[in-house]
Amino acid sequence: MDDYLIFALAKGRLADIAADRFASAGFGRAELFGNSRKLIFTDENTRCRFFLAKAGDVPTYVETGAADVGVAGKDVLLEAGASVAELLDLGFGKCRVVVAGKPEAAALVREGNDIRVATKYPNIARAYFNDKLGKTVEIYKLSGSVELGAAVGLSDVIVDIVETGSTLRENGLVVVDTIAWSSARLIANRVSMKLKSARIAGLVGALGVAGA
Amino acid sequence: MRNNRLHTPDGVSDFLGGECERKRAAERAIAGVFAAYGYREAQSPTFEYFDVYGSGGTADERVFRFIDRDGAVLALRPDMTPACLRIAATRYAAADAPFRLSYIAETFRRGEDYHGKRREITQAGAELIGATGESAFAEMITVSVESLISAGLTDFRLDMGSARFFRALLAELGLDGERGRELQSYILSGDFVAAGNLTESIDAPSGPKQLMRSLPLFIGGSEALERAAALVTGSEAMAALAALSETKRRVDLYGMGKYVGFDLSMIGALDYYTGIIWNAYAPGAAAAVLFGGQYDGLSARFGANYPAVGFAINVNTLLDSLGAAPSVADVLLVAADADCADEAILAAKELRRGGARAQLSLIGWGAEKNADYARRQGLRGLVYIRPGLAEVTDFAAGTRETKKTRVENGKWTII
Repeated sequence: MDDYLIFALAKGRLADIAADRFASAGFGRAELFGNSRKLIFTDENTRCRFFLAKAGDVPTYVETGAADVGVAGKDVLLEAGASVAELLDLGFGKCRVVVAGKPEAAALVREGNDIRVATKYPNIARAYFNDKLGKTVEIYKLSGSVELGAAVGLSDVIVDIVETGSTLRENGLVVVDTIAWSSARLIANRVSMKLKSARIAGLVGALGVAGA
Repeated sequence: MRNNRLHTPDGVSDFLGGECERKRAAERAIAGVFAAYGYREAQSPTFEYFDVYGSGGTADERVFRFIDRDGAVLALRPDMTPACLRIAATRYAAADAPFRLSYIAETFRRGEDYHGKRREITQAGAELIGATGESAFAEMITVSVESLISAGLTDFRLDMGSARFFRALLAELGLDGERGRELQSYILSGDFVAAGNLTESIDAPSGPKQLMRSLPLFIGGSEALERAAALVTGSEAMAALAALSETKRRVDLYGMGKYVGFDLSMIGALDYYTGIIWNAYAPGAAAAVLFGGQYDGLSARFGANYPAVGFAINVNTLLDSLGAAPSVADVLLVAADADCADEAILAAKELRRGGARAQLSLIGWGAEKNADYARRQGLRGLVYIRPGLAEVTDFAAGTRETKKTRVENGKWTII
């Protein structure tokens, strides 16, 4: 039962940060990924295996048990609605999920209805507008450069993540409301939490102390 | 366009051949354990009034509902527990309690749209209605463990938690009402980060705060209970932990303790579960294979006042962890030369009488084509009948023997 502990990480800069944190907690080793284009990496010494997935797929890998634990942004978790345990706020990858639009959009969101929303996060957008504001929306799912949606008039507003807000400003958009604050979370498969409880508790303990 | 006639809807599936046999074998083994402990099988209707199931253990929006001729709302059963409580409350006299009921039945739930969640689930469960306390819990947990073992599961873990303990912990933190519910919903959805943040923000004693902030670390053996006991102070929380510990001691007496541990992060839907809760998990399954608990309030919905404790095995999930079905069926194909058709009937009858499973080839193929058919069907072997002879081929063993036979008084025998 106690074989490899399997980690799913989102490809990119955050994977390196996460892997370093895990390495200093005694899981895996530093510079595990190097410049390799492989997707799966194993560290025999600590019995850990890491794989690199698309950020939005990490919750699915963990929910189904293909990975025991993973690192995903809160924004991705809110959108995926996957049944996973969220164990720790790792504190990096901080951003906000916001509603943004041209300056006149604020009034529309406040008073209008039948709002057109462009987003990569249709579930978050629908929950915010339908459940929180009680407004009907038409949602356009885009896969990138979401700012463009509001800038060229495809939609009235966008729902997207922002770190500094500079991309919004450069495209003439302003933040209308913050829906959620996001940062990287350590998540775990709910069955692995039972069957590999000692190792996962060890990981949470080591990361929790390191992050405190 | 997709032709729906050729597909099954999401979340339901066919069970064929070895897979179906394996499912039935697991169900039979489990039923044997239920019977051995005196749990008598109950069959309830596949659909009943929604009122039986509404606001029960399954969220209302996940119950399949439809409308009867007279406008009454009917529901496909999402689980069996409410029906068992209804049966105990309305079909049996209170003086005859406690009741031990069991069932193996298909249950139906609206799943999410994707993630491959099943909408038709076979559940095998037992309910002990009208009895409570550690002896009742220990019996039910033992029956849980033995049922899983009987079905062939060897590598699994059953964890006990307590809704009563969680309520006591909320009280120690001074979290009642809205904030308590918020915390509960975070923990139920597995968001321990939000639960930790909420706990951090309140003014409360440090022991209970530390426990609530790090609930997932309280999974394990009795040392997890001891660590928890050192952090709480109230008598109710201590009593809830003592009940878990005493239940475990009794399960040890039954000899099943090595499968059983604790998980204090498991709190159950609190309006449903009132005390002990347990789940069993096995590698290869993405969800609990078994879940159970104490729900003392449920019978009140049917006008009775029974404490109750019960569990259900999710048979489909259990099959996932048992691994792939055997591909060879333990069946012999009996085929014959054209002039030996009568002899083949007698031979098949004789093989069955001897305990074998035998199917008769009804088509006048020769030996080679019959062997080919038997292999493709995944059968164990071929018995090919010729005048006074039987050629017995066992594909798995790779053996082939020719035996002399005779027919006397309508009875076929190998000499």
